[in-house]
Amino acid sequence: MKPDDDDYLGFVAARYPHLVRAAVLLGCRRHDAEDAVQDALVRCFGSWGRVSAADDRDAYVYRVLVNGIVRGRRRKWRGEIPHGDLPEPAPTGDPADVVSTSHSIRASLDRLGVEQRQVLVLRYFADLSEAQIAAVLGVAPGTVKSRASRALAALSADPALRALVSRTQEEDR
Amino acid sequence: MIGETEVVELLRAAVDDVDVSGAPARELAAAGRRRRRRRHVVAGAAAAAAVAVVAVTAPLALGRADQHGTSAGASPGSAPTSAAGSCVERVPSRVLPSWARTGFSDPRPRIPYVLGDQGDIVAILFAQPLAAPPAADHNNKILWVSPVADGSSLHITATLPDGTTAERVVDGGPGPSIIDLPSPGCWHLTLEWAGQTDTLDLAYVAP
Repeated sequence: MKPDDDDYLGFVAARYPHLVRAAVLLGCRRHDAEDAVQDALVRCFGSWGRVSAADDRDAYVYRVLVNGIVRGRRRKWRGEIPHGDLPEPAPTGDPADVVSTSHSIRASLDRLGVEQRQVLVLRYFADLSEAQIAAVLGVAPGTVKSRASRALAALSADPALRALVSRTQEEDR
Repeated sequence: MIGETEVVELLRAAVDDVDVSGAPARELAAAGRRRRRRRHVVAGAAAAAAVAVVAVTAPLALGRADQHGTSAGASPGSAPTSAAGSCVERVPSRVLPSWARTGFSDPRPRIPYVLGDQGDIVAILFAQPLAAPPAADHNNKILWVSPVADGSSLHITATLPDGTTAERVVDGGPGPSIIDLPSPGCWHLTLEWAGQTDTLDLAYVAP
């Protein structure tokens, strides 16, 4: 096994769950997220030896991932999940059937513009710097800053999210 | 105003329900090597074309396109079968095993299904043929039923004969699902749930 291969295997093992969750936050459905991440990591394998620093490696992988997700949206794969004609189990009244907090937050993210969402996820979930995000998205660092600022403002104006944050702060007191 | 600290917490909470089991690192590395070899073949052919006559280049390009077309199921309705011939594009309707009939009004429901090789799970097909990418007029709806379930998720590892893999999860264990796979072909599924393991083959065709 070449040293580069060991490095790649270690990177994938360490980052894979986080990358899948990032893809979900970027708007992918659950199984599309795994496909997108796997496709990105396969593409990255061929260039692995050229990426020198750990910081650059994360930005490189996210750039490939984001570009792949954008390409996938342009292909307009369909994926509704109807349940009406499948024999569903009888309703139990289980509170877990209620829309979960995570779904509610993702619904708020869905209401953001694509570019704002990308900056938000890359900055506050993937923990990339403004310069790295600028390289990932192919924009100027100033553009990253303004999109992040607008994204935060949009989330602050989302009534569902404000209520959730307020409820969480009350519970923490 | 929602600040940066709140956003970090919100994003983490937004994916709390996303369970990711194990990274297929070796499989991805193998796929990366195959992709790299294909790119080297293409690059080599392009270099040869620069000094060779067109009659040499055209058969090379057509050969690769044919391989890609065949592996992607270029002829609609066709799906390569597994080595054991267990992939069937149109699964016939049969009476379900007795333990799989819950929820059906007919006491002896006849419906297309594939039984696991160990006999511990069935994949009931509500739309055929299964298609990759999904067909415009129907989804790849599969109802998984097993006499054994404990509420834990059903984990599916799907593998093509060329080694391509895809992982899927049905939350809550065997039940209703949409199973989309990345490409047409005869997919060998390894199913794990509630301490059980079973396998079966499903054919996905190009729509």
